[in-house]
Amino acid sequence: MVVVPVISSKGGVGKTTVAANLATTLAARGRQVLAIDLDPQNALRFHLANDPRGCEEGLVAAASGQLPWTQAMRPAHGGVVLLPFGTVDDERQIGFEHDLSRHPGWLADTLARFGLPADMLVVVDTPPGPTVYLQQALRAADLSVIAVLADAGSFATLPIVERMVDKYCRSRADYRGSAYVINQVDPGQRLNHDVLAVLRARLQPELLGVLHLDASVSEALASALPVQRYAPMSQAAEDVSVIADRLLARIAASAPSPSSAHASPLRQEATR
Amino acid sequence: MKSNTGNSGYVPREAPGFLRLWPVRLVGWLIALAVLPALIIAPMTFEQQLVLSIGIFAAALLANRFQGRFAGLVMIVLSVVVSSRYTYWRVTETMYMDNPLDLVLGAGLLMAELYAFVVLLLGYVQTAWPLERKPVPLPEDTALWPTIDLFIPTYNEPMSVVRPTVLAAQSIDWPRDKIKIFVLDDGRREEFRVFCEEVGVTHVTRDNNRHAKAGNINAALKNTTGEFVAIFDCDHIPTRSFMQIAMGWFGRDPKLGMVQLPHYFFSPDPFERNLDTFGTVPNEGELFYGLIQDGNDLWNATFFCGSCAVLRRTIVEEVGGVAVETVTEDAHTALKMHRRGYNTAYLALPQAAGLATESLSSHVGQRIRWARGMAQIFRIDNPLFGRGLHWAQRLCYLNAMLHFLYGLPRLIYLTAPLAYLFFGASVIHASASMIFAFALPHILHANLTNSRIQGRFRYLLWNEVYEAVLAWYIFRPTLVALINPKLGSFNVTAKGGLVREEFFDTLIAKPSLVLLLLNFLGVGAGLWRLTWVDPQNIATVWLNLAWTFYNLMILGACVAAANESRQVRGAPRVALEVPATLYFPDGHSVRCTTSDFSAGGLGVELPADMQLAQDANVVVALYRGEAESRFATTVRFSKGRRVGLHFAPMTLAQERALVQCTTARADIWAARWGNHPRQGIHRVLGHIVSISGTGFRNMFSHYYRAATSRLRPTAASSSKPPVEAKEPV
Repeated sequence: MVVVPVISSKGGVGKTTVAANLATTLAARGRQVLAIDLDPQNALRFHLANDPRGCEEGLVAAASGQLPWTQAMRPAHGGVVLLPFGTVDDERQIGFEHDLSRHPGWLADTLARFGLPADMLVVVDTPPGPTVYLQQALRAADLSVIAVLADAGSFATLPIVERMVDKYCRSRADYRGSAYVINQVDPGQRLNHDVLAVLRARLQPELLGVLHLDASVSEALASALPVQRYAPMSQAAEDVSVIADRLLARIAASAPSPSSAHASPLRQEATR
Repeated sequence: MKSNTGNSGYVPREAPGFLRLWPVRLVGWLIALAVLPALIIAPMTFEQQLVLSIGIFAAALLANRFQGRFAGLVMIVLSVVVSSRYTYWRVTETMYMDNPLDLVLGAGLLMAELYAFVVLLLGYVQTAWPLERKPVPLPEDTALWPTIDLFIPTYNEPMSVVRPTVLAAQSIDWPRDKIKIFVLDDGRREEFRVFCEEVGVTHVTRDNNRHAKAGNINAALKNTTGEFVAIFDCDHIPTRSFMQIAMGWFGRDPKLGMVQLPHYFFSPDPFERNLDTFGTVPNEGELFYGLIQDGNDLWNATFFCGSCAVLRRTIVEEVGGVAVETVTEDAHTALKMHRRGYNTAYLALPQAAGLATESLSSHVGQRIRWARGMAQIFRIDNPLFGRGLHWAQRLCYLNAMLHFLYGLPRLIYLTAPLAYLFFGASVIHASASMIFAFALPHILHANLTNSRIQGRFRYLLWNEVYEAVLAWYIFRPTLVALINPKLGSFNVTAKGGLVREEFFDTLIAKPSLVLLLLNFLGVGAGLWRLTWVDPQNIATVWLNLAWTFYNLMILGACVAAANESRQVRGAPRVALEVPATLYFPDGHSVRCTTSDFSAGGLGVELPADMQLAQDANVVVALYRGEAESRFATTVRFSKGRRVGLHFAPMTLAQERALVQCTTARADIWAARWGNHPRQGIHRVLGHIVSISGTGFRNMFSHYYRAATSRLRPTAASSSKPPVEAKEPV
């Protein structure tokens, strides 16, 4: 199991879009993918779920034992399994957050209890900025995908999330690093072009790729489809594909050796 | 002075260890000095000669099955032995002529064959062991990198040609304060001055045009101070990495005077365009830059080719600047450096590219200049004599010059069988069977060996096509230059511009047409001879007929080369396949691939059929590595998956970015260079026969049309075969 939270300092940078498109593209590459919506907006379902209206109950209900985990998980596009946050009122949300703050390793423990296959990918969508959800996601993270925009605001707030990554992840030996995705890139605009150059220079070794500003992305959301299905010939589809491939390459390159050494012979036996 | 043998500072691969043991060496010398000469001069009967030839040829075929250079050297030795034997036999046994006509024609043929023999031997010396020099990295600390003055000489070339070169030169990766760019404008054009000021390079003029390009460079040398001088023809666009590839060797060898890199053309030359061989058959220049210069480098005899090269200022100044005595100032300058004991180097890595000459007539004009210049050097500064050169350098230079004297020998070959077919003159005093037994092995060995050495850079027989087209044009100016190197010029004027319609260039094809006519008559005469000659000469007739048919095949391909294909656009289109993205005004995008580009626009191939509105605005994104640039365009045509886009006016920064994304990218075009698959003789022969057939068809249809239009009273005066005005037909 490789846990990949998608995080950002600021809202509106397209975390959910990145998370959803990553999940479907990774699944299309033949990987088993669990997409977890750890954001009270409960919006990941609109991108992914086969039946978005059936996602009223989810993570929160299952966490409190009101719903078995197997029922909380929903089939989603392209073979992805979606665990929606669930639509909850303010009191339940605050209560849940209270529980989370008392059990800092709750998400990590819960995922561990699931006993997921070693090569399964868990993509976690998170709310922006420093929250209890981000703490949980980072404590469970193997590799964080940090979404930014090529604008001044994104650039200025980047340290907030980076400090949290340093705090919760870097100290762990099995943490595999951060990977940046620059979203809504438009080199035709002067400022965007210049900030992009600065960001590239700053993020270079950890830059996963860019996602160009493309009308197909928002239209794909409106049609409840991943962009690769909605507009397969678009630049955005190509970008998502490049990002997914590089992410897989990063994961493969950083595979912790002891566990894989144990796991792989067994898997090979199983596949024979 | 023998200090400059080989290349100091560079150790070529050593011969296998066992070859360096003294008993092996002794046996080697014994074979070389006793056995081989005996083999060459031993007189033999027909049967003995046949057995010997088959034996040696089998040995060569066996050697050819082995990889590596040693086997290649064995084949060279065998080829030299067989050809020497043939030549010895030709000189000693076949020149007993009983009448003056035979003697004159026979001596002419013998001269041509001796020339070919010498060039064959020199060619082996030159290409036996290409050095394959690799670039040397520069010091880590860029403060140690030297200063460079980059010269772009121009005279009358249009601004559209020079612009991309200047912009690409400015993007070369080298410390900004250590490279200065100079446009040497012998046209003294205001437009150029304004442009240079705008982009921030120096516009240099002088008050006269003495000594053309060489004089232009020399004048600029006086007014500049950089430690090194890089020279680019104004249509050779350098890549960013050019200097970092080229400069390293200067740091290793303080006596290194010049580093040359290949000239690469990303548009087809007239041969390639008219014969439709672009990208499938190595072109005329590929042998020179792929193999000959690299072979020269082993002997420290690489010469300067006028562009895509870096010179060390102190050394070029010591030899008096760029040579002005001849019209090939570049080769002569290198010769002067070598005479003073300096070194030159060649790196077979294309790092600059340009457009090939537009029409066959301008191509011919350029080759005439080279041929004339080489003949001039041969006369006024003959590399065989004078001080300072190592014997191998003398031979390499000698071959470079002798090469351009192929005009007359080639014409003799193309007409030699006619002497017998027309007049019954026996130009080789020997039976057909003896000629067969001696000449055939000579030809087979030469071709087998050369196709092993040259396979990736020149296909068999293509040499003959290239030379046959140029032979007549090159013959006269070289002859004049040999008699009096100072005497006039025979250059045909470069027509330039656009070949608007497909047309048959009868003027340039005239020599081929005359030769073709003679050979056709020869076939007729041969058939007539077959009906009445005495039986013991039948073989001779067949031999000469076969030779004539071969000549017809080569001449057919020459005629095909004169059939100028249509060029559609003013700015030449260059094939380019790189990923791109189209962005439409509504925010949608489509990934696509470019198919070609020019200064004016871009052709793209969409992933699916799509109809784009005429004149719609589309932004196209091109990439260079991670960097992306966007260009505003309008749709010129859209059909199925093909879209033609026209660039909107660009800022200088965009123009520079476009050059970076297209022409200045060595990674796109350099892959093809020198990577032609080897081709078997039957494939090459088949290809040339089919080209030749097309040539005949074009020629006959041209004359058929010309004749029928003449029959019509109104068009009577419009065309007069065989010599026709150069207008499109």
